[in-house]
Amino acid sequence: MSEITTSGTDARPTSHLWVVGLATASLVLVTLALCLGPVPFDPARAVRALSGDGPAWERTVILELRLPRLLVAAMVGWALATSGTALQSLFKNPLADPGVLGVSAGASLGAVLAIASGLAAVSASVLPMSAALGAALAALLLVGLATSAAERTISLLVLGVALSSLLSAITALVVALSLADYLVAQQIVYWLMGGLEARTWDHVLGGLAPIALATVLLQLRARELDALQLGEIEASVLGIDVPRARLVLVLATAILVGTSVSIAGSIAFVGLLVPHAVRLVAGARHGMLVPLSGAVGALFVVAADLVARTALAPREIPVGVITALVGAPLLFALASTRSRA
Amino acid sequence: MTTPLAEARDLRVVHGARRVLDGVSLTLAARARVALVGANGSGKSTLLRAMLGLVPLAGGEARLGGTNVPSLSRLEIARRATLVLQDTHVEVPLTVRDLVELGRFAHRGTPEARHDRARIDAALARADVGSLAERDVRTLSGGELQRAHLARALAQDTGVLLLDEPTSSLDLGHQLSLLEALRSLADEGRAVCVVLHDLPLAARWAEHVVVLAEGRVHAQGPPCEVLSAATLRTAFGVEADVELHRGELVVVPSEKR
Repeated sequence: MSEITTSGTDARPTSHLWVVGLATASLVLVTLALCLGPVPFDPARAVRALSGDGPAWERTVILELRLPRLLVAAMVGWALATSGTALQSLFKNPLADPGVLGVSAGASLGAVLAIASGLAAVSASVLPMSAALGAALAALLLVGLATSAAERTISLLVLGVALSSLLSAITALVVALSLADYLVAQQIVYWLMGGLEARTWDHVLGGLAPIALATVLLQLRARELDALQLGEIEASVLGIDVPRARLVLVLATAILVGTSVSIAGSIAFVGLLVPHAVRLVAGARHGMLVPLSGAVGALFVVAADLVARTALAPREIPVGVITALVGAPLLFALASTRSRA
Repeated sequence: MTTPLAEARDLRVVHGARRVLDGVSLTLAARARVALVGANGSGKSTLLRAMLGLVPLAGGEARLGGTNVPSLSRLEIARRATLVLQDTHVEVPLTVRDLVELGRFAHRGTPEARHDRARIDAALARADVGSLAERDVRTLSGGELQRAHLARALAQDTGVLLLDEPTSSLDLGHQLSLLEALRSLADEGRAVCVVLHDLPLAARWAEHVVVLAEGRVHAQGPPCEVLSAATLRTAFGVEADVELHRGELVVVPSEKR
């Protein structure tokens, strides 16, 4: 069964420009990310190391340090931007984002509980799964609260902020209670700091399958997202089983956020800013919007991480600081162009 | 007797203590042109939504093509009946064609999907928005947007069309051409039910008028019988002279009671 029945109208005139632009930006950013660092490489040496040739230490730097970090940055950017896209359409609210709605806080709580209870030590997959579970529970709680609230668009954000504070408070409580055990406390603090430092192939491989799965789920539901952004009644009239579509979409979003939080902690503004910007240029059809947001989000976080580790070298700035420093002014600028339009 | 395309039997809807619909029955057969009139808050919009299973019922039953609506999936409902809402405001950057294409959602994966392109083009033309197809819906005037939503409903290609005040933002010329389009849809064998505030327009277009007041059917029948001075007094609380001028209904309100 074809997802997009009228493929002819789906190809907007801008789509080939997108491909060319994104491919160019990817090439430049990947080259920079692999070549820049405490030991600068020229592109030829980087390529040699990538292909498995050259001195062992060069291969270690490229294959074991810079490449996994680059991939984790791209995966996290992809996951946050696609989940932000889905949440904004699902809640019909341009300010919806995993951070604002408390979904990220739910993921953090899930992960911290897994570490504090010792379950995370049992298997490497426990941490991402409990983060995804925390994100899912937070999102479902939010859907439940928002559905029973009368004025939905306003109350949704208020509920999200309240939920986020509540979950963060519980996380802080769990952290405070586990301070007694030095080893556990150290693990929690290390994990809570998140960021992209010292990411390994374990992080890449752990995140790949869930992010790919959730992206496919979103992509299969692209038409439902198109309809849901018109409102629930409209979507129902068009033939969408709204509660079911919402459940699947919330779960996909939770997997994306949970995985992203479990491999790199919370990173601000990506889920809010990127879908906003992409929507302005690419329109509101999710068949295009989801993958484009993902790609732009991936490039955005890779670029932010590049700045984070080179701007004040040898010291590193947390990547979330860069995304917020760049993201907030950009969002103000976008908001003012939109209100003028 | 053939099965009506849509039917409301003794529908009851409550909001808190308020009875929004208090035992309303309505039958829409093929080729029906029904105008739904009544004061604000009389239950018109709720009736249309209830007929598509979009609001919980406190009693009664809604049927589409003889089948009880709750036993149909949303997809099956969407293939039988559509609704154009009163508030058609859209805040997302979709083109008119994008919006109209969404009307084809219910036909995805069915043999009918082969006709998507033709149905969309026909709907755009019929609602007179062909020239606006590539426009961002957020840049449309209120009337253009109403026509775009009508085109979306037409693309859905249903036997039953329910429209909630589709003429409220339209200029006189487009009001007439929209009602003309709805008349030809009914002539094709569909059932069309429209909420209208303009009583002369309702009288001119409909073959059956239903007057709702406080959640009940106050009166119904052919326009000239139903839209009388007495009905306006009791259902709208308005004193008005109602007369026929060259076969058209003329309503001249004199005072609010």
